[in-house]
Amino acid sequence: MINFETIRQFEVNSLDTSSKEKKFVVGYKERHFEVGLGVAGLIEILKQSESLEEVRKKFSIQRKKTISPEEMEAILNHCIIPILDSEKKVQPKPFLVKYELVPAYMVQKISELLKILFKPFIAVLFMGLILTLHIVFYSSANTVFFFDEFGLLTFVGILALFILSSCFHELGHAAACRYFGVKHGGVGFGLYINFPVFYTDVSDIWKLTRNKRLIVNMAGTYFQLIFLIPVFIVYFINWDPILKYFIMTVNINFLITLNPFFKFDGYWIVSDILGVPNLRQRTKEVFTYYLRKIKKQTINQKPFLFSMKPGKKICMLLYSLVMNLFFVFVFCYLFPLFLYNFFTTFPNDITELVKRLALGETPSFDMLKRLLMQLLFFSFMLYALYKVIRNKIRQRQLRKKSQIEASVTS
Amino acid sequence: MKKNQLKQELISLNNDLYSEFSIQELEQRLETDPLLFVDFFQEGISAAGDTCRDGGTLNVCESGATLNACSAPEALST
Repeated sequence: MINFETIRQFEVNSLDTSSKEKKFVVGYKERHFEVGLGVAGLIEILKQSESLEEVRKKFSIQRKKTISPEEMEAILNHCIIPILDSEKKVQPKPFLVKYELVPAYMVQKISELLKILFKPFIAVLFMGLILTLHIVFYSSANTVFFFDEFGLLTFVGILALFILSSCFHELGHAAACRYFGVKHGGVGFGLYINFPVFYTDVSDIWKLTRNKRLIVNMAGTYFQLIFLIPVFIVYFINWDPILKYFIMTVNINFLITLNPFFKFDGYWIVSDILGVPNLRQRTKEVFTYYLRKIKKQTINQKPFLFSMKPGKKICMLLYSLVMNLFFVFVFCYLFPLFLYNFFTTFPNDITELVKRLALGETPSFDMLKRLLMQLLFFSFMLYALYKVIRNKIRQRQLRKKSQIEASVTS
Repeated sequence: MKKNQLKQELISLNNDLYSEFSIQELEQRLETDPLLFVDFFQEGISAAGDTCRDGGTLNVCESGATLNACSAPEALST
């Protein structure tokens, strides 16, 4: 049953993609859907109607063909009901663990103040300053590390500074959202695969143009670079190697953040440059499509790639190949290699640790770190495996349930 | 004739379902920043005694120290 009042809450905007077909984004209760022109038109009719019969008549006029009540029902079940039912379904989580640290309303107070940093004149000024400082820093002859001591207090200090810079990174994404007049979520902490991450929910930017989305994607790095300005200044005054180490660590972290395969900022940048929403899913579409074709199975949807403009199509195909090869490498080589190393070295290391403790010796920090990291990584792998198996079982149960329901109805 | 027309309409609608009536939930956009430190947990970082080989690059040195940043002039002078 269609609730017309609920449908009036749907927010329909144009979705900027590289598809030759016109796409729209429908926002409903924090969820976003990519829809075609037909669905967008139907939603507009539903918003202006009071009964299903009225919808059918208006839709028949729009489609320039008579739509029967049965066809109308089939279309509504296919296009509208999944959006309405979405709030009952749990959205797939990209993280193993997700915890919001600062709620959206609190972040908004700061992002409102910081959005000024995206004004073109200010942004150019800062980028020029950042570039100059980097050139001076890296061209300086004195860039070799000499640490007499690296005490616990220094370590904690740098760690705190690093975490602070990461928080500022997240504020960058939020401030960019405010600059473009779209809402953002809170800032949180999560575990993505085995990476501890800070995150900001910026799902609302789906309704922005690709260029604006790109600015939001890069805003985090831009803010972290701004964060480095005072660090650079202090470093050029006292030439403290710890500050130098911090600057380089943040810079190297950018390379990881801009990795286009994991869902870090780099992934969203590639997604928006290529104009392909749901990029990860769509890198598999072509392979699945041809596999189903070979198996002579029914195909419900053509791959997005087929609708792309020629130039972008080649880039997407290349990215899909590299992406799939990368994950084959990670899951078929790196992970088994880690497991092999874990099972061959971990028992010996634990025995060594117990021996040292029994003899009253203090185990080295390096050894404790290695054991802890290995154990953490192994635990994350087990947890991820448990979640995959649990989801598979749930999906199978749901499929069985719907099959039983269908057979009872028929 | 009428049957043919009905069949055509049905085919036309099915074709529409592929593109115009496509619907797909968009993924949640979580802009993430990994908290990875470049071997931050090492006992110490020192380049004393290490040799700079590649100018302008970050080398992982073999002598226990981990991160060694070499500038072009240093690499050339060694």
